[in-house]
Amino acid sequence: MVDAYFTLRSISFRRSKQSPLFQGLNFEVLPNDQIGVIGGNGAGKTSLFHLMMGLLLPQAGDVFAFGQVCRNEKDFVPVRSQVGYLFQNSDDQLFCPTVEEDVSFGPLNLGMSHKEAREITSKTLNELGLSGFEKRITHHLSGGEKKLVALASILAMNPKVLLLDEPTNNLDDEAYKRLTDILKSLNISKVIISHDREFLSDLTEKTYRLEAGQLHLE
Amino acid sequence: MSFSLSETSFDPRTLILLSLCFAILVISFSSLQFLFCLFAFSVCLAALFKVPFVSTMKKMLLIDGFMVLALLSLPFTFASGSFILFLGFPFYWDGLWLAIAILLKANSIFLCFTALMGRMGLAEFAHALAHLNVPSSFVQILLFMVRYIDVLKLELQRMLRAMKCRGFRYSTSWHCWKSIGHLIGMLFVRSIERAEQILIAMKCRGFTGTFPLLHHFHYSMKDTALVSTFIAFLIVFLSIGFLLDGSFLKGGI
Repeated sequence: MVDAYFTLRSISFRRSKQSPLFQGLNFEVLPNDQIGVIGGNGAGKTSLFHLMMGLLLPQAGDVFAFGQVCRNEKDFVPVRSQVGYLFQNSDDQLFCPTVEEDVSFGPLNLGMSHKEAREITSKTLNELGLSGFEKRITHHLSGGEKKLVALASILAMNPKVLLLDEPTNNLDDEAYKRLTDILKSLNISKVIISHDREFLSDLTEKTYRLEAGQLHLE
Repeated sequence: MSFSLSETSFDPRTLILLSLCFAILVISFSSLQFLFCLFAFSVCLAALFKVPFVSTMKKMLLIDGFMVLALLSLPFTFASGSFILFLGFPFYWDGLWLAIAILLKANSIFLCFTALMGRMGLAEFAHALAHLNVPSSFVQILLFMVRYIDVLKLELQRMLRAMKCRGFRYSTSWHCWKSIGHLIGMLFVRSIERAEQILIAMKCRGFTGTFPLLHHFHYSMKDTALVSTFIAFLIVFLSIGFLLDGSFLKGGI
């Protein structure tokens, strides 16, 4: 049996003073899984990712990541370097003045030297068709470019799993197609939150619906 | 029917002006006996307006703790008047009295402000300032701060979260300092951009530089009663200060 990348076991979570968001939620991500997650607004799709990354901690239940049980911030630090989380809003992710600095931020956090970080940055940008973007100002990029640079910034960390939160939101047709092609070519496990059925059926093998605090296979 | 000062709503303008006058009065006194009386007055005021004891004490300790650090050096550096030797260092009495005076002034003003304006919301405070003809750009800055400080806080939290997801940890490395610099810089850029967007949105709804004020305050008999009682009691407390012999506080030194 292969070790699961993520196992969420009977997770219960509520924000203070609100009705529970998750109750007895179970979820598993295996190597090479391509999973879609759909659900209404406020169903807790983004919170699911936050629980997997340790940005939120559940009140009950266990989060196993790469075979280790994770209970606190410290446990999640090594997890984060193996998971690429693409935020819904790329502006949250891009905080450095230039594209190059932003993409090399992750590799530097992994302890790489500046030279190595620079190499992996230009390699990743090349692969995404963004060569020549190194000195561009992140703030002045178009919406589609921001999304691709944000993707480059997480791919530069060589993640085992990608968590993509509504990656196609606000993209024009061309950027949409470019992103779809890139994601298809990546040989990495993916969990994708989206409202776009066509996009999901194109990229994923199974789809879960998040409803009433639980995940149901469609 | 019982009358409670803490539940009566006064005109915010009255409260602001009274607090301001009290502050000016306090800083214009320098002799300890008057400052003690004014401090006693503000304690009574706080009690009458039912200022929450624990939270106010916490805030006061915070301010005092900060000041005490600075004031501790005062008796040793005042360098005039009589002194004693303390662990081989000269300890000037006049410096000590000055330190106590500064502490008393700060705490009196703080208590008075908390009593009179503690229950006033920031937005109400800003509106009252506008009605007192404070320049409208100051008032607008205050109003925008009230509205957007949380938005900026959330923005900062989201960016920090995204940084952590890419393996960021606080450390004393050049990389960490640089990243925090970028974070703060980007927060500024975003704030300016958001401000421009807001301005555009406001212009689209007919904004030309002045804020229409919805709240209008009414000066009533209650306010006159408050002001006259305030002044009357202030005179009583200051008279006590006159009657006290200043030298007794200093223990005949």
